Amino acid sequence: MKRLETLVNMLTESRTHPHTIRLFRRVVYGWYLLSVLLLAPSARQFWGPDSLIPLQPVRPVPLLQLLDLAAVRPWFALFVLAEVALLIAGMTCRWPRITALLIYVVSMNLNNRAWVTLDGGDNLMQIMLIYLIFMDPSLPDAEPKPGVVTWTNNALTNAVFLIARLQVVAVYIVAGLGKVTGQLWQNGTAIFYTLSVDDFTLPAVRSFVADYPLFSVVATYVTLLYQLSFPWLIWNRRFRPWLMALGTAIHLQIALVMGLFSFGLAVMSSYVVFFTDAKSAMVLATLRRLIPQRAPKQDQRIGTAGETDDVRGDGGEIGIALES
Amino acid sequence: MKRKYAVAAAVGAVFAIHVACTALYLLPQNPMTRAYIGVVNRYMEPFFAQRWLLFAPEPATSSVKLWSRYECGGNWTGWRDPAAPLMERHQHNRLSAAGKLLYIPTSLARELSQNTLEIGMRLDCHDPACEAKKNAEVVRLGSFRRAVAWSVRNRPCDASSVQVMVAQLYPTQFSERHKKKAFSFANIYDYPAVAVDASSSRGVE
Repeated sequence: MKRLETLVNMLTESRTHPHTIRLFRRVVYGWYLLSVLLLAPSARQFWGPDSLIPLQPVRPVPLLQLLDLAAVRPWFALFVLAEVALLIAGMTCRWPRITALLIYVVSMNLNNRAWVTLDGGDNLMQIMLIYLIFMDPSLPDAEPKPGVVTWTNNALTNAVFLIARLQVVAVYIVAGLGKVTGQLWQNGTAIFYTLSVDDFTLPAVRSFVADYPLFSVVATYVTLLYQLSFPWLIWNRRFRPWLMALGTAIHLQIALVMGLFSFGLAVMSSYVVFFTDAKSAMVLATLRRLIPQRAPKQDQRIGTAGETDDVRGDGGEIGIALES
Repeated sequence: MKRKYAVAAAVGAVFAIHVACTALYLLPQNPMTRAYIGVVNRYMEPFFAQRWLLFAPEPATSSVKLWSRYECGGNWTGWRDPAAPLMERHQHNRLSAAGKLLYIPTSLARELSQNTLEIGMRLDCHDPACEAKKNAEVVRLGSFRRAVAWSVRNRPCDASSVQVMVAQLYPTQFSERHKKKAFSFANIYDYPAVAVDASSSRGVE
């Protein structure tokens, strides 16, 4: 009974990772901002009326496929502009749930129109966009008094945050177990073939893997081992930094060598959910020093959720103490 | 305190349902799949649809290209990859739209190839008359017209006709890695040539 009470209190009394959620929100929206800005010069080819991308055969949620409508399509530039504006607003963490919902709707409209260009990274980020709608990114010292609303907010934020972590783990379980049965993964040539295919290589790298087969054999088994061990070792705080460092190296290779830039960056972005709250607070404080802030009076309005990245305050310390 | 427990129970239930549905959705097919997949799919799709077979069970072992040749001033050019400049741009700068733009001709080639295969299987041609019927059907395909539009938009000259080809290229195999070849072998399928006019470069829904 005591244990249940502790669990209920942990779930409802405070948010366990306020700084990590805030950082994660900024990283995910930063990823979307970078993606849309990179695609913007060729916007017509992705979303315009003359795009050669066929429409999706089904429209399960019409609100998320407005650009499939001939009458809406000429206004694609407005969707791009709205996306940029909303993402910037979303990163400030003001009106967090409304902006998160709007960002989801606009992003999905753009994604659904350019559906043939989506990869696993887009898939992961789309799901994270939904989770962000339910996560409160405000910091503990801006939290209102205890009550049903606060308990629900805290519990929902904590539960969805854990779901986001489990989602990343699910990616690795499925991808890792899927590879185990693959012949090329078993015989150590998977990376050789991947880096020999025109679409996922650079000319110098293709020659390199042909000249040094040992590299591709080691890289194949390291990738396999990494994906299989991630779901278990990521929960161990001693292994976690090393695991994330290795994962970052692998995904940098995927982004820069294989050319799946947005995919590599998306998976790296998702690692933020495994940051400890203290680490996230440090990163936010560093960002705060690097990016010029608005006047302090804007940051100290009582009862306004999520106006500051200040790491001081009792709530912050509680958050750090509870984090896993 | 009771209200706090109620909140925790409600959120806990939502958490458990979501995690259970995600796990069942991602499980490989098994004897129990039929029993739950209908309910699980209704919950998971379209919002939480996901597929994580990233380069699994096998990595990419071929690339699909949409090649074209053009009739310019009465002479046909050789086969060329209109996406080659885009690929070059992508290889020089990973931080550009080129990588995502390359998905467009690849998906056009895959879609056209798939549609052609379906027509071929349905008609099961063994004589020239049937082949002519098949070609007539193929050139009416939306995927064919989009493939032609892609080629025309990337034409090197003021072409009067264009012909497209879907080429599936397999890279040098591991056993012959020291032979400096562009690719090991290829499956190709060429389509009927068509005249280029003002409507050729338009998008088709």
